[in-house]
Amino acid sequence: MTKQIDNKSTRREWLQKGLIYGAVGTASAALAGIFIDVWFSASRFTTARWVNIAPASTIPYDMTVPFPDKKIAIVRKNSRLAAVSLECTHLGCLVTATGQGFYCPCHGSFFGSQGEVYSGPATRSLPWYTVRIHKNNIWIHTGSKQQTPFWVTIG
Amino acid sequence: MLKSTKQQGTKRNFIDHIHPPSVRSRTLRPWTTFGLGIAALTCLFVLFLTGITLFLYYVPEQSKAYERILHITTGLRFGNLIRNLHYLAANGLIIITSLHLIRVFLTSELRQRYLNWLYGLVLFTLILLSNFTGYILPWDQISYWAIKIGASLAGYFPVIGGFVQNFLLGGEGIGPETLIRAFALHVGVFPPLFILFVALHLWRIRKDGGLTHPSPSSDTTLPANPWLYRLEFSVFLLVLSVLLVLSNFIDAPVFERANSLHPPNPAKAPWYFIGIQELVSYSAMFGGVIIPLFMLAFFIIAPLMEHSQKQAVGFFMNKNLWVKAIFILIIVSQIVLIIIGQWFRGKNWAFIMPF
Amino acid sequence: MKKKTPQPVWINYLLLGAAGVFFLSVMFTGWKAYPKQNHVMTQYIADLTINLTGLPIREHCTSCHPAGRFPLIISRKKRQDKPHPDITPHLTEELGCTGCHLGEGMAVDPNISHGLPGMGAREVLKKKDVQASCYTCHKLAPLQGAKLAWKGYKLFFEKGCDTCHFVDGLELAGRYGPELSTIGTYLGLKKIQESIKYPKNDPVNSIMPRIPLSSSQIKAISYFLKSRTKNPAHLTPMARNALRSEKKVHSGQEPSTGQNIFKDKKCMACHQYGDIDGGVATDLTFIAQMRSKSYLRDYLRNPQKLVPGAIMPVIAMSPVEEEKILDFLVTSSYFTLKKRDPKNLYMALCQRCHAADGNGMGIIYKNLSGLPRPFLKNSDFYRSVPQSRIIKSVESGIPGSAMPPYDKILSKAEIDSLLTLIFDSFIGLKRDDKKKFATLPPEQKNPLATKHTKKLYMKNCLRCHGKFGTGTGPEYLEHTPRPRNFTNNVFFNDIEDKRIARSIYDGVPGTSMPPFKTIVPDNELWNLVTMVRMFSKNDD
Ligand code: HEM
Ligand code: HEM
Ligand code: FES
Repeated sequence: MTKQIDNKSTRREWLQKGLIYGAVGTASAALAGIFIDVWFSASRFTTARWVNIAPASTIPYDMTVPFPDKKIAIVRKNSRLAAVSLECTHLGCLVTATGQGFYCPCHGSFFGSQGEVYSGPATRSLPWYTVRIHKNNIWIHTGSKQQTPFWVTIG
Repeated sequence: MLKSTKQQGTKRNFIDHIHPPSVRSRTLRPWTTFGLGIAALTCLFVLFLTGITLFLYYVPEQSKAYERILHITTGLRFGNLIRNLHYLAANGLIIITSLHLIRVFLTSELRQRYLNWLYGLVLFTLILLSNFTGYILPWDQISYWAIKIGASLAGYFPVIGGFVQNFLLGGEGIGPETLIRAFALHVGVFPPLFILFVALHLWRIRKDGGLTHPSPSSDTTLPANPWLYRLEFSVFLLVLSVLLVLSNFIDAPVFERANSLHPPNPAKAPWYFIGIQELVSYSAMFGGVIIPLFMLAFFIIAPLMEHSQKQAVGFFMNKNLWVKAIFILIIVSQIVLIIIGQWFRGKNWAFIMPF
Repeated sequence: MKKKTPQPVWINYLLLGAAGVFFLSVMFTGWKAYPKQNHVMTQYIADLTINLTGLPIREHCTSCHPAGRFPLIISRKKRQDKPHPDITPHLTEELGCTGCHLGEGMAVDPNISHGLPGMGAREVLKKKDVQASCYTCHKLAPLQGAKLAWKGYKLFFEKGCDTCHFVDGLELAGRYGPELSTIGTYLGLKKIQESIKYPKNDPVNSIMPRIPLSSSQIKAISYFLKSRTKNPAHLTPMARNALRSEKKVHSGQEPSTGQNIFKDKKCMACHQYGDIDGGVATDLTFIAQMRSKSYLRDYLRNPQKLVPGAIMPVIAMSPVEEEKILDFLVTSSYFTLKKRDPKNLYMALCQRCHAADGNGMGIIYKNLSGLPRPFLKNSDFYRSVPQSRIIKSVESGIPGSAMPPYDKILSKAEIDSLLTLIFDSFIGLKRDDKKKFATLPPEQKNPLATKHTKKLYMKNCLRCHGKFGTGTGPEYLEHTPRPRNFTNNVFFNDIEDKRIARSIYDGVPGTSMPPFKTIVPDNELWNLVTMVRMFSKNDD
């Protein structure tokens, strides 16, 4: 009943407490991490894939051919091809290809032929997709957006 | 000592609320409860946590359920772990509560705790039903046929059998409603009931004056905080660790998609009902109706047959010889029957050696 | 002042230990369950939804097999980068993978994704096996790339499988065996092949005969059957219903010649006729010479009535067709054997069932209602059977079985020489070497099957002959020859009470039937005979 608390035993008590809190705390955090990882796992599933657009030979020289249902356009320069997204970077309307570049009917954004923003509410340029030619067919990969055109040469 | 008295006056949190301020030193001895009640609570905790996680990815639809289970087990990082934990905790809960029931029956004075005993029985029923409805959710061969067998076992009961079958399966047999029904019960109905009855159960322990103890008590008392808390927390951590480690090695089963035309041979009920299935294989009437009814009736009335004057101080102190005998007979026979049914039964329910 | 209570300090150490254990187990779990480096799981997982005729199918296959045509941007060493072969006009990215290859598309695991073992219903189809999927979408017509599956379809009819097995949407077929309309959904290729090759493996009491087929033929048929699925993509549910209801029964047209009908109905898929041999059932080349036309007609209409236990199905045909087939058989049946010495006669007439070496296991023995009586090593049996009965069996056949009467095509002398040959070279017995039997207990006036008799039956006979005397008691499969079927009224009408009593009293040598003279009390013997008789009287 006396209040003689000797220093050594308090220190040991603190050490013990620290160990317990430390171990249980870290482990709980790790365990919580596992659960959170599972809860957010859904975002690791991607629908990105190769999509067949059209036979390469059907794209005329120096033309931009839109494929509205796939929300892309194939740009041809001589024997080189690239694929640009037609989804406006402002609020997602479908842009139309004009001679100079791309025009969005919704809020009037203008994009240049490289997809760069000329004017309008949009601030980011139109992205480009990775393209491949396989057996004369043009394929794009939907999970591969990039800032600059990805040119391929028709072989 | 000093610290704990100081705390008593101040703010009392939830944990303090459901605990008494002080406990008998006997309560803290490991062999008084074996920590089984807390172990059961831990399993429930794990079940809720992992259950909610599974809930995010599961679809209760016949053509999708199975694929979703594959998605969870193989597609999600740590998904298999979560599913294993849910599976192990669910099955572990049956074993742990059975042990808890045995411990309570053998060492406690149940006449004054009759209400709590009944809450316990309700909890046990809930556990079996939860397991049963959970088992159907993967909708693979083994779960489909286990449910089929389980449901037809229920069907042996006169009067209520058909009713139970109809309610649990959403129809006469396994049909399009079954999966939704099982899912709704499993995640929508039973979990709230668990919360309700566990709360009642724990509250009742305090109302009954703590655990059974010898009287007149020569025992000293100790503050619940920190001793009881620390003890309970230790048990919690240990059970959690065991579940975690096991879930790395024991996989929740996945078999082929459910195939209503080709039953596996033999088709077995889930293990906790195999004892009954084994009995039914001898006699439908006795094994499927009379014996289970007898067991149920026995569990309900057994506490009322105690000597009330004597107080329990250890195993069996206040039980009639024949009550003990019947109790032990029931437990041992179930264990033996489950072992026979699980490992010694082969094709067409013929006796085989498991090795 | 209260006595100081001892503090349970051990709890502190327990807690410390528990915290340590908990820490270690979480760390262990994290390390063990976290996907190893370069594992697919550390990456994005391909998650494609393909729409095959209105059924959305979700797949993760291209996570590991990015080569729908090309590797994904993120290419890993372990992934299968080999490009998919050209399958124009199909487009892999429109059809997805599991539509043709099966497998479990929602799994990302090398074992589970390729189909879990069991029935193998979703086991991945590789290389040539993929053609087993073609006809789930395509209508049945010759298809490039699905040559074997098409061959299987034709074989299915050629070999008479449709005589017993109904397949949805195809022409009129029997329902004698299990319906196969959705078999592909439930069984894997291997399981289907096994079921054709060894029909009696599972279930053991299957009556399906083993059709002589080469393994490539079996493969072809299994390809065709694998494409019979629950939701064939070329059939809307409506179209399927229409097909069901307009099942062709008879094509109003006048049937052609008897010979053509005989061919059309694929009798030779099982039977032998001349040089063509199905290898499953009896020789029909000269059947009409031995059996009367009315017998043949009755048999065609209901085989099990004349030979209980026969596995021949009822073949659907119009009365006109039936008449023409019968006429064809009657007019064309002639037993023409040039060298009619006993040896050649045996090979021409007996060998198909009783086997060339006389062991009773001729090529078709498994498909007969009762196993042919073996000659080889069966002298005990023949010593116990009177000479007259043996001769009668050959001359007038054994009613209720496939053994036909031979007196129409063989002379008495020929039969005698044949029997001598059999006795000499197989049985190894003098023809007049007969066993002497003790006399039977006196026959009662009006034997009655009492309660006691029934008990006796239940106790001693049921395990082989069955509760209803069908010869299929719990152990019947353990005995060769199989226990006698008491409901075979054709057989039992032909034999005397005395023979039944003798079989019970002294057993039947060479079979599993033991003598019961010490078990059955004398006064019950004839009651049991009555009981046995009752089974065959019960029906019709
Ligand atoms: C909040 C509470 C719960 C939720 C949301 C929940 C949810 C689920 C879900 C979605 C599944 C299907 C996933 C799978 O089969 O792997 C499942 C399975 C299962 N649940 Fe629960 N559950 C809960 C509580 C419980 C409880 C209290 C028990 C038992 C006492 C239980 C026993 C089972 C069992 C045995 C399975 C089958 C495990 C397997 O085969 O993998 N669950 N649960
Ligand atoms: C989810 C299931 C259950 C949980 C979480 C649970 C929890 C608990 C806890 C924590 C205690 C304190 C003592 C100890 O730890 O042993 C306790 C005591 C008790 N339990 Fe349970 N229990 C459950 C199921 C049951 C069942 C199935 C029964 C019996 C049918 C039962 C009957 C009792 C009784 C009678 C006591 C008082 C024991 C005494 O006075 O010595 N409980 N329970
Ligand atoms: S959406 Fe294109 S400018 Fe707003």
